[in-house]
Amino acid sequence: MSAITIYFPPVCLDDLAEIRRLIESAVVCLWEPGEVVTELVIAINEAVTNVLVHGYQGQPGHMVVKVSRDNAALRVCLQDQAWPFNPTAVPTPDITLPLAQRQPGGMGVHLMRQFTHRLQYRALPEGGNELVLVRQIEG
Amino acid sequence: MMNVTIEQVESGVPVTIIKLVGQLDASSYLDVIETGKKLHREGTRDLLIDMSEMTFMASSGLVALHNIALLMRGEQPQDPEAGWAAMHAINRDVQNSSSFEAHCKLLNPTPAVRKTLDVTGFANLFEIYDGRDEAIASFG
Repeated sequence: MSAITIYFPPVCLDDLAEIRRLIESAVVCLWEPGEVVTELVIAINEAVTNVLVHGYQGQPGHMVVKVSRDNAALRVCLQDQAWPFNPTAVPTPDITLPLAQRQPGGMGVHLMRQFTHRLQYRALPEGGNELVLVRQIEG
Repeated sequence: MMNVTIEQVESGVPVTIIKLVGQLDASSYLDVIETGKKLHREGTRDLLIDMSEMTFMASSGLVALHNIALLMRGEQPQDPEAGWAAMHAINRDVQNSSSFEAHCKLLNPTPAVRKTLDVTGFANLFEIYDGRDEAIASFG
């Protein structure tokens, strides 16, 4: 397995473009540029935005992003020290239901689900959150 | 970083073309909404959003599109400060929409942006044109 880890100093929403650039650079070290990378970066951007908006609630905060690859998948592990926020608990928007019956949910998480094959969340024992985005690349 | 250029053209009705250049994400979507509000205050009622040089669009960009489309429709837009809650209203409109937006249309989105429009259902809400002349003429 190959892996690249990026340690971000306290970052905020204004840093999103640079965060995307660095993470995309790491991903393309492990997989050829193209649709997989484009979609994965869209998903990661939504995950990072959730951390900054919901986790750190607009305040600058640390993040660690580990990008890895094995024969079957690209994995992006995002760790923060923010308030607990579990994006995998956000219901999928069901556009077949009438409004009154529909569960609340966000397009950001919807994009994350659309462009990955698996999302894994856990609250870290020492505080903070870990979200792993898995994108299959073969099979 | 998002740069915005604005152009006025005539096609039977006055059409404003707003060109969004760069990356539209949570750091810039409020600025785009404010631009839309300013245009509406100044009289814009038909708007073409040129996405030909928009290299990235996040879900927050969809909030901006939704707000501006509502403005052009003559409806009260979502509070942009509650942009994340506004996603719920977007879902509603995706579900209930039976026709394209008549007063807010999209021009030539880049493949990455088109992908986001497609998987969120927004491609079913907006007329999307490849050609500028055809897009402008569609308002007439």
